[in-house]
Amino acid sequence: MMMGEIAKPLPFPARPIVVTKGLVKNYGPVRALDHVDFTVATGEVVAIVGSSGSGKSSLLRCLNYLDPPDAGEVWINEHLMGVVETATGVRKATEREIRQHRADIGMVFQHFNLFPHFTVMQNIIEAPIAVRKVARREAIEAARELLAAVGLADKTDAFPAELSGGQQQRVAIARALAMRPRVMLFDEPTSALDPELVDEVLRVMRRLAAESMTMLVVTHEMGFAEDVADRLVFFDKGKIIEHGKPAIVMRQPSQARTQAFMQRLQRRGL
Amino acid sequence: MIMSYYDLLLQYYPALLQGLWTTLLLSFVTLVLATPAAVVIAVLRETGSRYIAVPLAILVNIVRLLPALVVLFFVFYAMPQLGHRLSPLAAAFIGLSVMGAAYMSEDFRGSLSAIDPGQYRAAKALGLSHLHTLRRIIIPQAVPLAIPPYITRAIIMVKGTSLASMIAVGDLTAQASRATSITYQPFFFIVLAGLGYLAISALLALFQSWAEFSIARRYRLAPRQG
Amino acid sequence: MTLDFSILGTVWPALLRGTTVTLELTAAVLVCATPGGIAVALLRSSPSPAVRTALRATSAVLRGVPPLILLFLTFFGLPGIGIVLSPIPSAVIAMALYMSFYFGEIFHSGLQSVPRGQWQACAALGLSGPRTLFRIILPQTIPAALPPYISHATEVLKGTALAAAVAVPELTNAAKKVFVVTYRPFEILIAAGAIYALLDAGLLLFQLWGERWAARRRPAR
Repeated sequence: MMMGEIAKPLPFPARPIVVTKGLVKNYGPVRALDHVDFTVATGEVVAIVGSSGSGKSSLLRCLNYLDPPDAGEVWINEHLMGVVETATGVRKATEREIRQHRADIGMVFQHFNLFPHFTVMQNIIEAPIAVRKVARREAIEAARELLAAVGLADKTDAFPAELSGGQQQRVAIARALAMRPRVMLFDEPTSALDPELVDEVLRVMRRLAAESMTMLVVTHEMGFAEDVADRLVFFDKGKIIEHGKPAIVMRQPSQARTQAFMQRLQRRGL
Repeated sequence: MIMSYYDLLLQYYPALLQGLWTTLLLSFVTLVLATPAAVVIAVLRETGSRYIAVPLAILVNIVRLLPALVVLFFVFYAMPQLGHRLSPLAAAFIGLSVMGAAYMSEDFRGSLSAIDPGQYRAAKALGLSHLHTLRRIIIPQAVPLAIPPYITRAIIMVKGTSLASMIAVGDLTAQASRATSITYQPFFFIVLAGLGYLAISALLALFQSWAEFSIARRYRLAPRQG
Repeated sequence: MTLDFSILGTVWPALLRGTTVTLELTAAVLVCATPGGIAVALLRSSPSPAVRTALRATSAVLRGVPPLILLFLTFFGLPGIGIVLSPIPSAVIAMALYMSFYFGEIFHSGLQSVPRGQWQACAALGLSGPRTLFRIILPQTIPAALPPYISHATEVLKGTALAAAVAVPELTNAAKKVFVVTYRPFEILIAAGAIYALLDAGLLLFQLWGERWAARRRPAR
């Protein structure tokens, strides 16, 4: 595997839904993303692993332009993020236009980030009503379906503070799904959870994967990666060191750094 | 003593009451003027662009370095030099409101910054606009946090109105010191004035306890993550 | 009326004299209020409920009335019971009394910030009471107390302006005397404001340094 380059053809016949070219992101003197080229096909589940500070979270935040990259291109659904086509050419997109495009991408955070002063229902319907201009009744109906799908149908009027971590994260997933995104980004979704609460969240994520949602998951859960992910990507110091089928990358990595990382994980019983 | 305290009270209570009324007026108007200004400043400084936030920061911090009396003197004595003659009361309103707004905006900034940044991130990821995020997500969470420091600040501002006596406004302090200098009664009027202020502060402090109690009951903030 | 800052060239000695008095007042208040604050902090932990209540009552009164009233009380009021003070001492006493309670709060929090475990460790090591207090506990209160102490010091500096009300020749008073004569309040007050701003800024810089110094000496996690 060449560093940072997608050498082999996509594992799916489907078209690429996420493409990055030469992505660079600096935080002060630190280069979090170092000319990253990356492609994800529709319906693919990609697990991204690496040590802290390797750039994995930065990648996700660049994809939905939460933190625009310093250089490089991000293509979501064959649309270049950050620019808008006009009759005369291209121009830089306004914040409002970026927001519209961001609606196609769902994000789930490590610390859930639910709105604590809203009920579960209010959390889920806020964005569809405000951004996609969905009618309130429709939004509530859709929210109920989503809550049922994540196993929390009875919690519509609960406040986040009344829920466990696992429940909150499932609500967060429902909230992101309410916007009907094409791509779901998960930034260490289970890292902040007590061990016994991790499974309920992973179960929801497996279901999503089975329903052919395109998912990028930054995670330490190697079991999930091996079972569910179509591809495992190993990040180190802002570059993709290696990627491929999870089983292979985990047990027979071709790069020394990958091997060292995997051994460290195994030693910790992950 | 030529007159008994009772007689003094009888003779001077109209003036003192007038002073109290003026003090209450000063307090009320400066709070009404300073509060929205402080909200706007705090929001602009915390979430606005650098070109707005930095000049505002400079202005606020310069005002906070100055004694309130100097600011009041400036508005009352120096503005006429530029052609704007102001009555003592108007000068007091302006000077005290400016000072109040500067300090209050710092209090509000503190409440805003206590909101978990993850809230902004989640709202942004969902596609909510900045204004919408502030209005529906951030400020509703900041308000319960802001109330205790706000009332503390209100008490300080009420005490600050006593400075208006130095620019010829007939507030409680002014009336008390006037009565003192006429009657040569050292303690009486000053203590009365003190009691007047104490009553206002005590009421505000009681209100603050009640507010803190009802907030604690409905406290639903996102715990601050790392 | 056009502005003419050249007037400052003539009046700066008067402003300088005023600044000197301001600085002296600030120093005097700090010198009196600091031990006052320590006393208040220690009294707050007194076992006697009467002492604690009296302290809380005094604190409430001193913080519920404007400083100007306290100043007038010391200057005009004390003569009524036979204590006649000239302007400067009465200003210093009024402000020192007032600030003692604020400092007391700061020192008390500083004391509270020292983890219980420190007291236990001293007891376990067999250190005596005074030794524990002075060698181990009090030094640890300083990092917590220093930054707020310095920011209150700026309040003292700004508070000295009130002394103008009792004709103390500090900076604000000097400025007023000068602009009343020269009819240039704008320029003079800008100058006076600038002086206050510079002095306060200096204190704040000192506070930033203090915070950095304190950060290294915080209780370890």
